[in-house]
Amino acid sequence: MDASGVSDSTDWLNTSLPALTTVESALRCQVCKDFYTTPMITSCSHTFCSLCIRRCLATEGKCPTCRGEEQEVKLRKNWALQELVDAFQAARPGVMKLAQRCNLEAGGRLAKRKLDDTRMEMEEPERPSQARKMRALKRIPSVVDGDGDDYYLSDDGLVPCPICSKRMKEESVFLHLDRCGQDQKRRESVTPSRPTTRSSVLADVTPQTRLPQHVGRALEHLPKLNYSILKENALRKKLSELGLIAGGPRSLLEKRHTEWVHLWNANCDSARPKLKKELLQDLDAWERSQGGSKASFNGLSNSGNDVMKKDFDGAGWAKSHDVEFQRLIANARKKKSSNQPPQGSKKDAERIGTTQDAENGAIDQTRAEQTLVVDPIDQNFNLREEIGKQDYAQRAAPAGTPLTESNSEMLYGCMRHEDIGYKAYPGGGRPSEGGS
Amino acid sequence: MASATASRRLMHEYRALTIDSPEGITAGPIDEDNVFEWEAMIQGPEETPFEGGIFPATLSFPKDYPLSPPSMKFTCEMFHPNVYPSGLVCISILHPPGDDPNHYEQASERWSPIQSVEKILISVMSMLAEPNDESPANVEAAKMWRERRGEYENLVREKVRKLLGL
Ligand SMILES: [Zn+2]
Ligand SMILES: [Zn+2]
Ligand SMILES: [Zn+2]
Repeated sequence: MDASGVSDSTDWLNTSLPALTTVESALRCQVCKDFYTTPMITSCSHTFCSLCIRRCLATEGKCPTCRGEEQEVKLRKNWALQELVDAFQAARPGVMKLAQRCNLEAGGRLAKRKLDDTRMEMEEPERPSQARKMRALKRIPSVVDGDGDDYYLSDDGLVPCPICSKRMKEESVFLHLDRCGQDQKRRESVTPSRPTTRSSVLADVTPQTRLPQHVGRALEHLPKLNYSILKENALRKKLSELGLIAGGPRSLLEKRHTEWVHLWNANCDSARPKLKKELLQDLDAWERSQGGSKASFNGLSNSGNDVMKKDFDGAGWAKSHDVEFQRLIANARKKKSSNQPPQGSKKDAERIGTTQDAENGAIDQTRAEQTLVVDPIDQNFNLREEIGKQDYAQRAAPAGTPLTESNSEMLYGCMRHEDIGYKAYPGGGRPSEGGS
Repeated sequence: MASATASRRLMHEYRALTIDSPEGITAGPIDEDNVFEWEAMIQGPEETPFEGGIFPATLSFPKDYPLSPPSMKFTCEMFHPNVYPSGLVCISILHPPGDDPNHYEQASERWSPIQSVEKILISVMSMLAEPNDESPANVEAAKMWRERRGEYENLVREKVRKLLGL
């Protein structure tokens, strides 16, 4: 597995700061397991990414955690959490580096959990991972920080602050970190801002360059459609009005529209809304990932797995799991045969492995040729010329970039996007839902 | 990003399971080209007739995972009231809350997007220890388990030994 692929709260378990596993786990959405993206709080006080909860509610109408009835209109933004997530993500790489470094010296490795632990977890209704993780923590040899270790020490004998990179004496880092974090907060806006390493650039921008929806109107949410009373032609028309592809079978049209409403509405909640172009790309990517067993669209099929390739170290998996399987099997056999006089030959012993292989081979790997009716995004996106110059990723100036005319334009670009957002959707949002 | 939801989520689960998995459980994608098909190994729980066995299974995930649950199938012989003769596992955590043809399952036990592979495998482990005979997938096994427990347990033990090649 490529470490740069997905990060996970369990990354902390093998560091000198295993307690951060619980902290990070609390900053991640239980549906997608990623850090919260535009967290929304439900009326039952559970929090999910805006997009995640919207999709869940469309499927089930219930909170995934407590199964209480919930409606999208009741969702409220959880700004404080967004801010926390941003700050944590910004600090993560530096802290992780330090924590891994410390642990290397201590040389800790986790034991497997005991099943008793997991049994108990089953009885805990919410966030069962936490209690377990706490138990897991206890088993990790605790590492006292800095017993003479010289991580990050260089010629000047100083170490950099993981937030602002200012160099200082090692023993001052922790004290400084407190202040550094607060300074950063003070300088940045009170509203959630893009995670940055502090470099005073964003901190000094004037209020009007901040993300627009905190000063201006929010993007308007799209209403849901009652598909059962909508004729197919009307639905196609609706899709074209939205700038979406209007082709494909009826069921696909509905699913496409539903997903678009989710993407759009989640984007309305976002502190850092994307351009419509990007949303269309997300929709396109979503559409390509559909198909296959359950959610099959007539004739449309695609494994959607190409996304994974770069994140996935197949050989690593195969190797580590062969070893793991063999260990399990060997243990089992040892246990069993201690009660029973062993009579099986080595050939028999490979049986599990071979039936597995046969089974694997049988698994249908067919990835039918992708026959998407989706036109290239460009043809459908009428706003491209109007905005398209700046990529969202650069819209908020990256940390450390001096605020020049061109990147201040990036910041303003977002505002323009908002304005365009209204024009982009001639059907209009439902005003009553807009202000949430 | 939208498309990656299912695969990213699966990568998270896989990653977490590699770093910190419960004892007696191993699971991960079968090959790098298809993160939607997993292979799992479950250790038979102690003090049950399944003790000592290692049971291979496959998990197939839908494209809209985690909105919908995966299906799980043992790829070894499994004589159990809640496992179809085909190997398909039938327990409530693998059923979406929407459909309950049998009307016997608690909604709270069924699938929800915050459930996980790990929870499924743990549930299956406890299913091995305590079958639910209210809605058996294997009628013969259920009947034997209910009426001739000793015979059932001996049969299971025999199958476990066979599986291990002993
Ligand atoms: Zn989420
Ligand atoms: Zn809830
Ligand atoms: Zn306030």
